[in-house]
Amino acid sequence: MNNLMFLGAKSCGKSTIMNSLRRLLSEKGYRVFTLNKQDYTSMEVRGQSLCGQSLCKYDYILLEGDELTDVKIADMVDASIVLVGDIERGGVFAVLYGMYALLNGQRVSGFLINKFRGDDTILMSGLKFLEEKTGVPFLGVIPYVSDMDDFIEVFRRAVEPDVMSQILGVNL
Amino acid sequence: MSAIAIHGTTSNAGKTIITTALCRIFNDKGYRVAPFKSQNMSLNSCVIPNGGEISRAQALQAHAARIEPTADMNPILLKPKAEHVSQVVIRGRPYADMNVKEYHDFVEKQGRDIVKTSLKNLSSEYDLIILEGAGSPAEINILQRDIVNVYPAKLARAKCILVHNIEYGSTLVYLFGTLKLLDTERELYSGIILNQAQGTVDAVELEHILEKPVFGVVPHIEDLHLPEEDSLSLKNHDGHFDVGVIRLPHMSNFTDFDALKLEGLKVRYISTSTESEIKRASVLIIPGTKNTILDLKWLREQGLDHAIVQVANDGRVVIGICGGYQMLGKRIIDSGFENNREEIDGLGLLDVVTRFDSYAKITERIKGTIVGDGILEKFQGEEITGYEIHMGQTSTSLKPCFIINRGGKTIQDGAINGSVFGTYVHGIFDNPPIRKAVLRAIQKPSSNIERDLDDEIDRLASIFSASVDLEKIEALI
Repeated sequence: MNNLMFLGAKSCGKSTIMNSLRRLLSEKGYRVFTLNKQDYTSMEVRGQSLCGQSLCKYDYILLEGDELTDVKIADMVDASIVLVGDIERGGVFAVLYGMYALLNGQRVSGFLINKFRGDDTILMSGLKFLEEKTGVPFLGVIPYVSDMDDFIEVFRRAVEPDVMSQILGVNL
Repeated sequence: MSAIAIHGTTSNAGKTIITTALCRIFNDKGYRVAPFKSQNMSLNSCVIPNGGEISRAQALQAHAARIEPTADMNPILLKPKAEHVSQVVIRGRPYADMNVKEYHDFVEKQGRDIVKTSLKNLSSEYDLIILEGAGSPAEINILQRDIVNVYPAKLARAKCILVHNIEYGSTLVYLFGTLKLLDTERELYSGIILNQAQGTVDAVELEHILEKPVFGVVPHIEDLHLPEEDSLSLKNHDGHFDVGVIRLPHMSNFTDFDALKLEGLKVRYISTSTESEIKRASVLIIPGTKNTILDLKWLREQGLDHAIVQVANDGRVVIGICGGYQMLGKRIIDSGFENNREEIDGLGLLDVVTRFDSYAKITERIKGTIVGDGILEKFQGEEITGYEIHMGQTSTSLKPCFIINRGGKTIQDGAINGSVFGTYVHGIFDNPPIRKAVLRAIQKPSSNIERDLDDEIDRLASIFSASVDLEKIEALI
């Protein structure tokens, strides 16, 4: 089983994604610990380390990050990284590939596009291009959701179960 | 003829105002300069001297360049009509309504020729063309039918500048990823402009990693009033928040507000009275609901009732749709048809009373005419369409908003009191006159600080000049 960090620019929806995955895993009976950026920033400020937490009682640690330097937290808990791009404002392939290239691909196990409107067949050539260029698979394209109560269902339908299961090391 | 192209890492990078600034700056320096954007999607069009229409953004840029706007400056204008359907305006004239697929086919067949012709026309008349891109130039899924970024830049042999909006964060990532994905075409890019900076930015590391010079860091400009520009004209002067929609627990008809977004309005949901959004909202909408009385009680529990009344008393716009309309009234009387037999006070902003005294539910498409006064007055006589789905009958002493034709009968709909109105008509914002009425109403509060357009462009140009290395940019010409 693998820990996971969702890394993406400000307000790309990574927290919502992280919390949705937490719920999905909890439904399966797994014990999940989530750590958002404020959590570990304030721990750092207080001089606490992640290792000081009794994390061994959890099956999964899920993290979020918005800067490349946050990857050091992923290193600490040996998390693989899913790169999240917000397509609403455009430049989604650039931001995904930019993160991938600046990290030299290290720990990157998947791409995720969030807030998509319309018919996603228009994206296919782009997804394929990026997958071939990097060897990293797309976990899915999550449609834009106006009512956040619906997000978890939309998320569940949008992610590729095989890729997700492989990244997490468990059958979802 | 020389050309400079302004591309962005994302939409809203600030391309439009940077193009506007450059048009003014280079005209001041004595160049005959013209703006160009292959394709613009906007409901804000502007009529040009020969009678055609182009995007208002390019018309503003022409004004900045001190020339008359022509159709060649924006040869393709897409005016969204419905979800996924736009009216396509070619060189100023309506051409056809197309859905996304049809438009893509059209672009593949004819788009590049249209762009080429217009660019050619402009280049014979001007010394310098400032090309504004659209979206990101690195959308690798649609590169083969690109007519807005790299294609026109190459045609005009333009030197490209890549702009990133710092507010979006991930500055290095966006810039690096964009240039990397452009592959060999990254050579077209001469430099970077960072936009919307608040505070200082360290450009040295960026220049080192990107191997491109940073021409400047443009600050966030407070209070910029360029009314013709889509995304700027509708902002509050203190931020970006325009329309607040009360997120009722039983809210229905979520699509009612989509059309407002087409106008560049930011729409946000509000569910507690403590949210600062409610203080910043220029327009507050109480949407339709599947249960008026329960949601009205919820509204009170949240303390939102006082907040909404405060917004209305401030003279800001408050609109109730369907159940939201019923809530704006004085009283709701349920004879046991919506929930239990009970009477409840509404918000009291409109002198209307709603009764639920039968199960009769109206579900019908309607056509109508605007008759309301207040913020609708300027649009009296304009036609509207929409649909009704509701229970309950509402009576009012106020002037109605609309006279509508429902199932062959002519009836009055809604009630209006100054900047507060309510209606049973869903899809009301799909009607351009209603959107215009809202836009007109919310631009009013800022009218006291409205400055002369040329003064504003000059102010923009001088702030821009002070924050970028103009010599380096002029050297591109």
